[in-house]
Amino acid sequence: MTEWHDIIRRCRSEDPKAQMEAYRLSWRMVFPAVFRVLRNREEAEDIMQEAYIKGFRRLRELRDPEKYVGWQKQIAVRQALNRLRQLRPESVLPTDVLQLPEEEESWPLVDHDILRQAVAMLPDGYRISVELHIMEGMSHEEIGEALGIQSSTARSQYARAIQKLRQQLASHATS
Amino acid sequence: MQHPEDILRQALSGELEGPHAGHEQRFEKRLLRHSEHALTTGIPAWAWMSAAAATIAALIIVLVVSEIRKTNEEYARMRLSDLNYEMARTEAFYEQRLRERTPVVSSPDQNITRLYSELRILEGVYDKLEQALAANPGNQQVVDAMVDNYRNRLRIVELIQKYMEISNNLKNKQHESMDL
Repeated sequence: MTEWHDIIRRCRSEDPKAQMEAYRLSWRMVFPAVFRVLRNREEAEDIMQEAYIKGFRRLRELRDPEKYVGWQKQIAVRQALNRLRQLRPESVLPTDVLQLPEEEESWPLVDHDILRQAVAMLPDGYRISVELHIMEGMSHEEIGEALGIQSSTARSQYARAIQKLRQQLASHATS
Repeated sequence: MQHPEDILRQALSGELEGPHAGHEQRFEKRLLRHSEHALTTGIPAWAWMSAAAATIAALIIVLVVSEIRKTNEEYARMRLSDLNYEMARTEAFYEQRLRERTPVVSSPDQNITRLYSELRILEGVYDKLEQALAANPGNQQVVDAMVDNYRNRLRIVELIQKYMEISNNLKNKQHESMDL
């Protein structure tokens, strides 16, 4: 039996030591995803911990204990998105599916600070698609599921975000 | 020339901040509180139990600390923001959230009144904790209790909002059915 099988088995019996062990072993993978959505350390910690408690309650739904971390991360990202909607109801999480031109294969070298600023200025839906896909390795299907949209829409948002970033960088270069 | 994903990965990889120190201990306490609350049912009961548990825990800390250091500094206060920049940000965050979210209720019903009184109790405890911190600057137990106190107050405020939302919806429905 692997380490996760044992921990999850004990978590299912609501053993607080096992729950703490699961948290200690996995928060480093979960926190970044939550922080990327909320961009606030206090809020991210609060939501991450709430998501763990929710996860422990729903452990019966987890089929493969080896996939616990990814599963818990999904719950946390969903929770973070819900909180973002509460905090910024005006923030637009676009749901449009657009036919986009094929993205160019490469970009010119750009300053990382400028690029970070450009990402931070994207609308929330675009920013989250970019950060979760590139930095957290989440597929468009997983992102779509977390955002409550179709995977094709998530893919479209991502492509549109990349296109928007390229435009911003180009205008920055010319100015 | 590089692929956009590679450039973005490089640019975004260095900017991540981790949770504040002590988050594992805070989670442990939260788990404990949760397992106690799981024994009770109903959201308002959960919230009241939560506030009461936090109040009792905070009061015990205050009493213990004040027994240890009963000096003339007893009435001095220290805010979280006096400790360091990180704590100043935490304090500012919770203060702002509480300011923004605390609703003004013109004619509170019995449940809202109970929630507000829990809020006032927690505010009183927070005052005591500021005194305890002044007597024991940087004491981690006191700092944790202060952060927990903020969290519990925020939860109560959110619960008041939720309760008001539900009761307003019910009132609207009643009006609609009366109109019909």
